[in-house]
Amino acid sequence: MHASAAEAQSPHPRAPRAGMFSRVTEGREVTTREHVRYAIAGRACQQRGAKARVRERGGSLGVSALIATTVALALGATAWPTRAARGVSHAVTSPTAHVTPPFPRPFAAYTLGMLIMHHLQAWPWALAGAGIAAITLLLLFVSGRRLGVSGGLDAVCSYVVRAPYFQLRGLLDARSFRAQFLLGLLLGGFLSAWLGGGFSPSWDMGIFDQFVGWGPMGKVAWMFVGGSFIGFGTRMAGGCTSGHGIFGISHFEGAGLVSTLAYMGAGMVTTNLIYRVVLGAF
Amino acid sequence: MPLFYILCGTAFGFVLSRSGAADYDMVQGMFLLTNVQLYGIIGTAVVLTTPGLWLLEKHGKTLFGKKLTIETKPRHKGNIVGGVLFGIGWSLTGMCPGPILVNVGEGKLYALAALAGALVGAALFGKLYAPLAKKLGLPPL
Repeated sequence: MHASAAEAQSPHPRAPRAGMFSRVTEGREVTTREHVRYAIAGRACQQRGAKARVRERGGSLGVSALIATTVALALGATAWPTRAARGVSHAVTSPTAHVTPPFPRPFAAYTLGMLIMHHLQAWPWALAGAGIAAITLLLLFVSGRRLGVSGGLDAVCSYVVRAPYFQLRGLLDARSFRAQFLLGLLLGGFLSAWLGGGFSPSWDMGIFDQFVGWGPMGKVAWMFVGGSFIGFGTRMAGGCTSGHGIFGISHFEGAGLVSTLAYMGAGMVTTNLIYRVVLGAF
Repeated sequence: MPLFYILCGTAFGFVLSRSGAADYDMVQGMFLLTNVQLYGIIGTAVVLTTPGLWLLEKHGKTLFGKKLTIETKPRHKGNIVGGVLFGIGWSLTGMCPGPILVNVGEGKLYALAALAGALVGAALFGKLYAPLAKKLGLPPL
């Protein structure tokens, strides 16, 4: 009678009745001391599991936060009116407007060496190449670092995204350098615009406007897709134009040469498909 | 040192901006084979960097007397597959990773979307590293 009452109360019907200061585990009576030990071990296990879960959730949270912020920025930027809407008129609205007979009709300003930004004249390529070589060698000689930009994408990700790949020692050691270098690139672009005619945000995109003609939303979608190809591809290849192309080839690396051939080839095919085959622009 | 890195980046960004390496049209002109500007830039940079690297490696020391070793990047299938993906992206956006940031700095608003895409792409690659490493023979974690 007494035993059946205990059975009815117990959550485990077949468990024998336990003593006052002991608990029943797997049908065996254990002392309080043992129980405490189990409890501590159990809680540690639980905590470890919870931590791992938090880490995982933190990882996907990081990715979502990264995506949300950047997409919000990009979408926010679409609210920026185009130059025409703002009523800003440059002296030369279309750099090719005055060029007619000697050139074929589908004509792009870049053949005159004109940049999209403020229609500035581009520097001669020899000067630019020499400048890049000087920066590469200076960086290596002073700090022992090899030139590379796409590793900086990993570095930025490693601050927010949790994954074993972003915890690699080499990456963590170099990430502050990479982040600083990227900051410099941003500043360089800003200075160039500022000194070359003033910083005025714009949607101008040269022959894309001329032959595709999509508005800001279309450009954002196009750029996001292209950008994700860049991020995924450069990290898989282990470098980009600077690390594989300029530094890698100068250092006679097989990886550099192979990647450079791969991306130049793929770029030529894609651009020709878009502008020659699909749009028939050239 | 941070200041030095920032200055190097700034100089690099300025050159990329003014030379046309961060210009959508110039990049399309390069891929259409109608403009030599970027081939000239990359070619000159390689031709001038090669002897410099050779000399510096022979010298074997940095300016501050530290040992100078240049690691060679690993060769694997990802070089080709990743290279092709990057080439498509470079063609679509007219930017490689450096010029994405330069374009953002210049105030080209669409470059923000490219930056977002590039970060998401890199994050995705990091998340998928383990299965991809097996298939492409990338260095183990």
